[in-house]
Amino acid sequence: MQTLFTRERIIAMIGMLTAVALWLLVQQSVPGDAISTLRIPYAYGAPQDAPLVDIMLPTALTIYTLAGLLVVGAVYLIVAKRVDRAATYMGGVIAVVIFSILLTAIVNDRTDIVDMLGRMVRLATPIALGAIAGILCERSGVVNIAVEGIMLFAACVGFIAALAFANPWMGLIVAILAGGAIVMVHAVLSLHYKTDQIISGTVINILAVGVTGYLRTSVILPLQTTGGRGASLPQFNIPLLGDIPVIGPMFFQHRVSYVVGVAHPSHWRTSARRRYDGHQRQPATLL
Amino acid sequence: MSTEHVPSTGAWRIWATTFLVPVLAIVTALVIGAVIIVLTGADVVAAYGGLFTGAIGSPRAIAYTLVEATPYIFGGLAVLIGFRAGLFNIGVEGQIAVGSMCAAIVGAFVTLPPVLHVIVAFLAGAAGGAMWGAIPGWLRARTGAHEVITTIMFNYIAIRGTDYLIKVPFLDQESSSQRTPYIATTAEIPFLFGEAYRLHGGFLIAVAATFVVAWLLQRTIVGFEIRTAGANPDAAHYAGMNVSRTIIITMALSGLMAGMAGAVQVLGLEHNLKASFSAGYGFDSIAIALLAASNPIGVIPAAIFWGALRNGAGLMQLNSGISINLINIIQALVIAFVAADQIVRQIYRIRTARGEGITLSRGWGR
Repeated sequence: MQTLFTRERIIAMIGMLTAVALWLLVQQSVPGDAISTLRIPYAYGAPQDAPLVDIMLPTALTIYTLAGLLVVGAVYLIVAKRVDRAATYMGGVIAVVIFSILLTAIVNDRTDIVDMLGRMVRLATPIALGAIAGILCERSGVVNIAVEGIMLFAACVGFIAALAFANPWMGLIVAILAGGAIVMVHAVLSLHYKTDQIISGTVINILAVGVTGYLRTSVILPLQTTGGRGASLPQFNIPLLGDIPVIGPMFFQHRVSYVVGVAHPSHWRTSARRRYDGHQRQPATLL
Repeated sequence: MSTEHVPSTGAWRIWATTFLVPVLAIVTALVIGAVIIVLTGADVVAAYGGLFTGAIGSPRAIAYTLVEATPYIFGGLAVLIGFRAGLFNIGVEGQIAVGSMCAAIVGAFVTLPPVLHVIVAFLAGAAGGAMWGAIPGWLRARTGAHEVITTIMFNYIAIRGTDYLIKVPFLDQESSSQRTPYIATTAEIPFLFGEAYRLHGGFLIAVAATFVVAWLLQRTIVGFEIRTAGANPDAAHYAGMNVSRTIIITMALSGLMAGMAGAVQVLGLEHNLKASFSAGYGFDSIAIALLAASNPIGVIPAAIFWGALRNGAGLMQLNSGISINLINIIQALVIAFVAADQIVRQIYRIRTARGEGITLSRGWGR
């Protein structure tokens, strides 16, 4: 049994079943002559401007083709026994499913695909930063389930600062400081008072919900009723790179998403000592 | 600190560790809460007066507090059983969701004679929770996947899954709100003092469950294996215990308790299941298990305290204009002081007792 169901065969079967499911669903619900239009505008094009190009895809035919590709890939996985390609293939299956859902959602309609991709990067930014925070802790052997609470607290305090100083930059700075301050609770509880790290993380999470809710009713709402209004950080359009269609709006016309690009490599370089800390607590304290 | 030896009996020391520190932790948290109220410029007396009147001011308030406390007793027991085996069950929220779903389905869509129906519906809810807890336990035992991560993920699956089940297949077509149909009257857990007081038989089941868990952990072989696996899994293994099986049993028992919480909420109180029914029971249950200092009997007062805070919060807000979120702050402080008992011991000069510590998670890996 173990040899019959190898990993690449299981994944190939999942891919083929997905292809069959896509085929059947499209055959039932999408009219054969339907067209889905993906619009790619110029780098700084307004919605009403003429686009760079409108990619008009016959919905059913495109999905059939993608499903066919999935089957071809599955056969390749099984015949060539490429277990090392199984993960890539699985990623492909997921991408095909998502793209097919998108195509069926815009049958005989069109969507600005570049705008969607840009928004995707923007929405991914806090998750990516939170994940980097988690990795930093994980590598140094700190269990940090309080990323959520820290984010919440920092966002709340930063927003108050931005309102009070009427300056988004102050908000940014105060938010970073506030995040650092509340994480001290984690540090003090777990290091000085030897609390289990999951518990001190839980404490921060519950505390953050309480404190932010409390600050909202007692500080933010009064500030807003007296006319305080938050301003956003400006959008930085990186010259030249931002002018490139597709890539420009996706990666080089943001407010804060660049931080991910900066934060990500920097922690790799400085992490050797923390890694050591994480693996061998006692030797590291001797260093 | 004096170096003088204070003669103290063992009983006093146990009492001090078990009850004194949590009580002082609560007092300290309430004092800090008062400081916060003063800083906001509100009236402390009105705020805490409202909190206490709303929680224990009248027979009805007390009954409501006990109603609030009921799911917390089960939830606290669920987390506590895990603690004893060195497992951290963050999945109580999801297990409650599955338990309440199973109970709601059996209660509304199965026809059975009166007494049998309520028993079957209750057991269905308990079994649902147990199954939902056993899966992460099996994953931990079989693959080493950390139960903290798997139970968090199972929370999402359970909450979104039950949300779907409530809104699509089991939706009450006659109702405008998104909920399942009312359960049959044969499946209802009766109210103890009539419907006005809302206190239902689920509270008695919860109290009974507490003593069963205490007996199970202290007086049975399973309980001994659970405690040994928590204290030192390697030693348990060398002593010939099946640690993998113990992990699965522990998580199933833990889920069983959570499932019961969901079942009594549906069968005793709500009589149907609404979309987004369980509100943060998971984290609160962890807090209660900590507050109970890992002692099953301690779960009852801890849960009642929690229920009292929840129940009194409304009147506190009404009387003083203080945001209901103050309760969350107080709760977080209580957990912090109970978990870091050194803080309380320093403030009140209580000597450190040599008791058995709680073994919790050992990091994510392994």
